[in-house]
Amino acid sequence: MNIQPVFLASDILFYLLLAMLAGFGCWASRQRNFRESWRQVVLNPLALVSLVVLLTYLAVGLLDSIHFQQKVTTASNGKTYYSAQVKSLLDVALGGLGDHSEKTYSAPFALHLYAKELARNDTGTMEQIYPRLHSINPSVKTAQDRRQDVFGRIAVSVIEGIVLTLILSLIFSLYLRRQSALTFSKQWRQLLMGRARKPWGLLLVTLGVIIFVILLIAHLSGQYHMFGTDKVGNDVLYQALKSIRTGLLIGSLTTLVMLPFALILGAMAGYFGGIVDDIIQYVYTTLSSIPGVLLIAAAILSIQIYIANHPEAFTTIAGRADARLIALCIILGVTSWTSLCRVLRGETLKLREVDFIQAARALGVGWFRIISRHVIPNVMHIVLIAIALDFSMLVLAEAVLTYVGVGVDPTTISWGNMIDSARLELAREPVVWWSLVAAFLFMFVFVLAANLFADALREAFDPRMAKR
Amino acid sequence: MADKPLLQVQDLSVAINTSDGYRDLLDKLNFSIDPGETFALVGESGCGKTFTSLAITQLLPPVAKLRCYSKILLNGTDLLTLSDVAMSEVRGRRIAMIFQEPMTSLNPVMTVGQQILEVLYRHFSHDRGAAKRRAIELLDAVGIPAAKQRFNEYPHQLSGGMKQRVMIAISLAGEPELLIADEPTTAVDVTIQAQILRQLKDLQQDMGMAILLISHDLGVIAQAADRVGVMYAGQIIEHAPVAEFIQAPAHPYTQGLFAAIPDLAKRESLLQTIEGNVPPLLAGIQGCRFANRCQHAWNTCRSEVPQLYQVSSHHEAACFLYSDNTGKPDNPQPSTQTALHPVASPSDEILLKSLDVRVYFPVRKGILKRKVADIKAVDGVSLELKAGRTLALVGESGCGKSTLGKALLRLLPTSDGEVVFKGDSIETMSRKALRHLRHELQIIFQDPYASLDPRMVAKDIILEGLRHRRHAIDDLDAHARELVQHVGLTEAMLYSYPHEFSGGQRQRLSVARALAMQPDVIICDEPTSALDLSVQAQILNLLKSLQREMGLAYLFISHDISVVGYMADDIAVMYLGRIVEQGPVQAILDKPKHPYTQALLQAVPEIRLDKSITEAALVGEQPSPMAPPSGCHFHPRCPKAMDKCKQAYPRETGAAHKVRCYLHEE
Repeated sequence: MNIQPVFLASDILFYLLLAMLAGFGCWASRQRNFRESWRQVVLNPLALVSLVVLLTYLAVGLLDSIHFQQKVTTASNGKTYYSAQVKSLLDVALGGLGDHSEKTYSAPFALHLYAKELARNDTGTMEQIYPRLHSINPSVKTAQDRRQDVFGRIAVSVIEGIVLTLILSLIFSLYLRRQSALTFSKQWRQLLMGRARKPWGLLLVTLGVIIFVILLIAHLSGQYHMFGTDKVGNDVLYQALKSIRTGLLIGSLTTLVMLPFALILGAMAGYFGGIVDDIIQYVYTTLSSIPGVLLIAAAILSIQIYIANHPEAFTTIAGRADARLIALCIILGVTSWTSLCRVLRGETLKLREVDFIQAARALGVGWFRIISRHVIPNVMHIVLIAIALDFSMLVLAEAVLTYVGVGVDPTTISWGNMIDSARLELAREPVVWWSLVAAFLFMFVFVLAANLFADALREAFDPRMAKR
Repeated sequence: MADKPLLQVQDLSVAINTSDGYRDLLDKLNFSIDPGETFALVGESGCGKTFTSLAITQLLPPVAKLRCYSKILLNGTDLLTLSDVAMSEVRGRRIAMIFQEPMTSLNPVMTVGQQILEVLYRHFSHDRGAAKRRAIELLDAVGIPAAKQRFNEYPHQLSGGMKQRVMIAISLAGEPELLIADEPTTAVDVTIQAQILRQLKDLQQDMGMAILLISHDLGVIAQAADRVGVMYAGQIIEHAPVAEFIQAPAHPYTQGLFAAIPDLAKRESLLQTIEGNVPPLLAGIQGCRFANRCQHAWNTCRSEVPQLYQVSSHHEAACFLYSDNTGKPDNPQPSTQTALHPVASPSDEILLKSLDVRVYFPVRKGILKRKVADIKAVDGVSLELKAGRTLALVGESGCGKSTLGKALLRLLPTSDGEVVFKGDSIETMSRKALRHLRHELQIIFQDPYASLDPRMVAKDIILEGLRHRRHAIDDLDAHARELVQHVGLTEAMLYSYPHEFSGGQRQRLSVARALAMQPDVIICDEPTSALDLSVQAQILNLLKSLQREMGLAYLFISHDISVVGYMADDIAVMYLGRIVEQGPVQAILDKPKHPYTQALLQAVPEIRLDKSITEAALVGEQPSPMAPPSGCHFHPRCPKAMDKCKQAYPRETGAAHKVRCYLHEE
């Protein structure tokens, strides 16, 4: 075998999370109330688009969570060993975009470096020139060539995108035909004309756009640096894509840490009242009055020292960065459960007096079953809404914390790190804007989709939103 | 009667836009109201009464649209052609509204006075002093004592009845020609209801306005209305002067409603019910909307829509029975009264006994949460419930009846006293014994919407209590199937969620859940007060026949005297946490001894003709249980109060018919 799979701790947690998500999906699809609400979410055009975008991000994150080490043979003594560098499927899919780097900054689609360098010219004299980049299409010599090449590739992507979308629409109509009485061709025409009653046409358009973007990246990224390179010459697009996993992990793992606290403590405080309520309220009031950033900074610094003192436990660079990422998730989770807990306590307090809970008590049902079968299913909609809203907030929190210096490890590629390293260059003239713009663009699309989706969830699940 | 009607509603139709196109919520309503007259719209929930009033005031929600041929004429001007600005001149000034819920229809952050002044300033050009004088005058007119002080108080400082009076004062401020009263007394107690109806009648005579009264309560209608329109599923199906409406209801639906009213006299037979439910307004029905629930229905009824046919000079009904349509069946099946089973096994075993039970809720204040007072919700109640019998607990809201019910089940801790179930005191029971007790002592709640977990299917709801009790019943599925059939549901419904059931079906499900445990005693906490009259009769029949079949004992908590008269064997009347009178149903309803019981019975609006609204039986309202009056709690409201009453609470006298009043102490 040439490769050996590597399971980072965060990978396992990520798989676990996906499994839980799938499990929840299965459970929810059996609940008739939930199914009706989900139907409402999916039929909401904006939510559907957001969902597709989120799923695309999730797919990228998943690809980036399958890690392995490659077998390397040293040239000198012929020994083979596994490289200390851990790669992911995404790295492979991007065709080594992360491997070949330039010396320093270069603008998007540039042919030359952004800084002058001393080099020997043809006549043999030393000269200050903008040297040509190494890892771009060698056949492109001039700006004229570049324009032709780029437009050619875009055209190819467009054509391929349209073809793929059409194929997709055919498959889709075949599937839909099984459910409706329309003939296949009629169904297909309706879909393409956007006249279907449900927003399937929009779904198709969204998928088409995503396919186009993927094709564009496939055709262009190997030939040019689409978003330029950073200070040490790494491709910015590659970094932005790798950041997706970090953002996803921060958003979802933190929720995973926070949820049991909020759910169990909130339900218990509300249901039992009295001394239990007093203690839980005391804990979360205290916790929420400590400035969060301070707590996070202290925790992260101590983790950092722990990692530095126990090198034997963290053998790879990736493993070390990973440990810090998980630590950040845990500490973020510990500091952010209080608000959801407070909401759940209030809701449970209200539910406790509702007749069906009283009836369950009169039937002799124990407190554990009452909480697990009556209280928690009836606050699930709040939990769902809170998770969706918190998720985007946490992704943004990562960027802020990393910028301050108490976020993820500097070697972890994240939007926060990209922004942090781009910060100084904003003062440069001419300005180096592409790192910042790339991080901003990817994060913006992600958070916007998550927020829109959360809004749709709230509309569908919140009983207070009037259903018409 | 004046020659020109004040309000004329012609072909009023309101449609709502659904995913299947427009569906009529109101279907060609026609009625008129003369000046100074009270016209009542009566009907069960969901029949479109409230939509009618909203259409008249043009406050319909945006999803509902008026059909273009609808006309609403107020003194000859069509309100539907008025602009929004012109319409806002009509609202409050010429047409005013009183809503059902006095708690939510007043703005809690404005004083009572400000809310009246708002209307006065809007419609008249009073100066400050004059406006204030007028506002106080109005408060005075609606019977609010110390109107000057009340002017500066906030709604939360007033009791429910007072708030409803303020609401009336606000609506009268514009000196309207038409007052729309939408269930004005549904949220208040009977004694207050009598006061408010009296007040409305007096005000109507003084100010000469017309009233459109909307109600589901036939008693209120009989007392307050001049003419009646019966609504069913978005149509007016009968139209009659109130006397004929009571004496000779024409439409089978109206007849069914009257027959479904429970009563002391009907207690040995099942109540007549109207089978089925009101069809959903959006269903889109062919023919007569009542046909599939009607005993008389024949083919024509299912295919053609009946018009209003003359029954007598002022009385018309939308039923083919009164048309010259041929094809009537010769002998419509006579409705038969079904007699009940005889009592299964009469025994004198006392199942549930409470001895001087007290439930106090501490009121805590300050940082240290020190107890400053007690709310004495239940203050020393002794009861006995015998096997196979029904004991009714009667009283106004806030008198502690539901609290007592929950305390008997140990859903609430008692502060003092003892509850004995089959010889064991439940206060000292172990957890295990208590669990066992839960099987024999069950409860049915008032609100069929809140008492079932919306996230569980019917089968899980029914079997919930049995799941943890192993070996009790072998085949749970068969047990569940048997139970749903027993309470009149079908097996197919076992896998439905509560929101798919109607109110009556939900209450049947609650009964099934209680029965699943095979209890001896069921505490019924107002089981029918949230239901419509026709559905109420179905549930009462179910409860009554189950009792006869299985020998169940009921503790029946209710505020509705007619229901109690039908259901109960014994009655206990509660006032402010204590039982003031207790005895067999016949004795109490025929010869009440305690002045409170007398007043309570008198206040119940009866469906008789020699009515003329009874003089308000009681003044004032029930005091707060936090600071009950000294001596007999009832003395501040009692018409026969003596000096003695202010000093000490009277002892209990009498053997079978017990009463706590100095009038009966020898």
